[in-house]
Amino acid sequence: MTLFFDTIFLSLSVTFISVFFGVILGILFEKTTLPFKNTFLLIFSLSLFLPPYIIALGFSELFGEWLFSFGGVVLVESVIYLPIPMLSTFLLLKNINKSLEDSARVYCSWVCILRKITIPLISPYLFLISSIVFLLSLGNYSVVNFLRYKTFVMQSFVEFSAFYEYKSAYILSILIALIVATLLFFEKYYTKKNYATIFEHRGFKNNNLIDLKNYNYIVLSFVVFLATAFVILPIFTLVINSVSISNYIKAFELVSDSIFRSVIYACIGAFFITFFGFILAYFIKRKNLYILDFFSVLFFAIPSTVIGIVFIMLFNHEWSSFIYASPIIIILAYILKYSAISSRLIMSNLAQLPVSFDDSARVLGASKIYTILHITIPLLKKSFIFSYFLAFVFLIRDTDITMLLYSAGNDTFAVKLFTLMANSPQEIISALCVMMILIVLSPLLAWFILRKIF
Amino acid sequence: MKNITKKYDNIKVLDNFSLHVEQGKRVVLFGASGSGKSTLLRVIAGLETVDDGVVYIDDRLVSEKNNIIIEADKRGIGFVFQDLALWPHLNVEQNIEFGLKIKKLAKNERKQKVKEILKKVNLSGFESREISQLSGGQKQRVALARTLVVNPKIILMDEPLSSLDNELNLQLRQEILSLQEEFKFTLVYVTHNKEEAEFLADVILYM
Repeated sequence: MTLFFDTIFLSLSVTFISVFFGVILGILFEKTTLPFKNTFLLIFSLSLFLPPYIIALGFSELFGEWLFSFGGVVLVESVIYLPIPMLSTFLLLKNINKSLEDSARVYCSWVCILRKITIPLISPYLFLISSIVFLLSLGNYSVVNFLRYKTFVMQSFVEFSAFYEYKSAYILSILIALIVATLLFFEKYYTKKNYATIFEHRGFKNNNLIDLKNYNYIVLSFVVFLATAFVILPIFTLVINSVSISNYIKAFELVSDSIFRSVIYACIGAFFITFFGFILAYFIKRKNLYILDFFSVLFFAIPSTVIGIVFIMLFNHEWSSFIYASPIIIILAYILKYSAISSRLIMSNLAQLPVSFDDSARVLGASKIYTILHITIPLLKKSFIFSYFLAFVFLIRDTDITMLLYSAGNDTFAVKLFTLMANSPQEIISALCVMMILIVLSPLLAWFILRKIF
Repeated sequence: MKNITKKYDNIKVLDNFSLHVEQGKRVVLFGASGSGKSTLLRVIAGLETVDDGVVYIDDRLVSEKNNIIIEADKRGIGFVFQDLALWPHLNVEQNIEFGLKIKKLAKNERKQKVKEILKKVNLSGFESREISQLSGGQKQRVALARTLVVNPKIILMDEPLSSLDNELNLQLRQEILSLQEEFKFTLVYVTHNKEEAEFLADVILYM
């Protein structure tokens, strides 16, 4: 029981710190005249797309033994999850109905507007985002495993693997299911009701920024300090450690098979995740089947260890050995875990397509399937491509699910790197980490180029 | 349609409503927002079920209580939506020939029909234009052409001119009238503009 409450306290601390800094950075990057803000936005977003243990490894080079403590875990997880509240605040502020702020500008200063109008308006959405950070931190496995810090998730995994006991995993799942249900209820009946008033633009669209004036350089120094401490320094340490071609050659020889498998699994998984994501989004948005949203978000929020345990119990039988002993089990678990990312992304774009687009095709004689194939899907082309790349990145970096489910000869790059960390030279590990960073960044770069074509 | 009742979240937007429209007539549904005009059009088109009552088209039962007997794609009805619903990923020609493709017309025939209908709506030469390149009035004409090209017996229009300025509104309502007289389709037209209603209607129904 103590361990359970310790884990809750850990996740609450991570949530508080990442949301606190994330919201401040989101405000600075969207609403102020801060120089280089787009560059900083990209730098801070980086940690979201890297396998969490890479950030942990970078920090361990800097902080040594201290990192293997409560404070160390809080630091690493806060940096990993900081992009979620930061990007969310950035997007919320970008889309807020500017006239709501303008009407207050005749009465008070920007600080007062932010405090009394803007932040209160977006606070219910920030609450939802904070809850997501809390759930992700609660279910994190690879960071606490790497930092040898005992949490409830770790215990559920150990109990299962050592004694085939799944009571802890069961308790954790029930708790998370309850939180997810409450959040979705809150989202559906509170935030969606007010969404149109707060975020739909009517009339004049301005883009007034808060002029930081004399504070520009002080704020810039603060942001540079945070970016250096949270992201640049840990990654830079890895790059410095690995700086030799021979290290990269040795590293590549060690993991070339795993890289190939990772890319194949991620390509296949991302395809199915986008496919099922669209089906889910279509049924949720167009057929009001909100129960599907509940289950997809629930599977995303449930710790990977729990999903892994369920899959092992489901498929560790003679009849299903072709699944259990092959990469199929990994792909299936990926689909279950990550479909919510794709469905939520496609859903937000589907919501912007007027239903009359479908209806006009229907009255012209098109069947439902024909309408989906010739109207809905082509109009969502951009979201499909983005969803594919995003899913690809999440699968390439996935460690938790793959580590539990891979069979001999089927490991991925992320898992291989994680296992090599225990007994390989530091410079090789650093080289592997840099390779991982490049692999993760390449699809994002591809998306950046392709989005202009589509 | 007889005794139609339609509820949204337990609020009745149509309550025991009956309507008979003769073939080739122009009926205008006139009324304030929320009076159920658009819902009525969607019920006729087969895009909504009814909570009670029946709908007939050409003496065929097409909808009954909680059941769409003939789906929207099989009713042979044209619909011009308030937002026009022109698909932005298709150009003018592709938007107009959509219904003809469903009918499996040969490519040459499709091209010919698109050309003819564009001439009728004064948009000759606009085939390859993107929807985003059109003005409000041109979009309106494309929506009209897309509906007319499949030669429906009934056309439903849901406030199609509401976003246009007075001058263009007047010009286009004249064109709609001419086209209706030429093609002889039955028109059910929704508006909250009294002048528009009086201009177009054989029969005005106040809702």
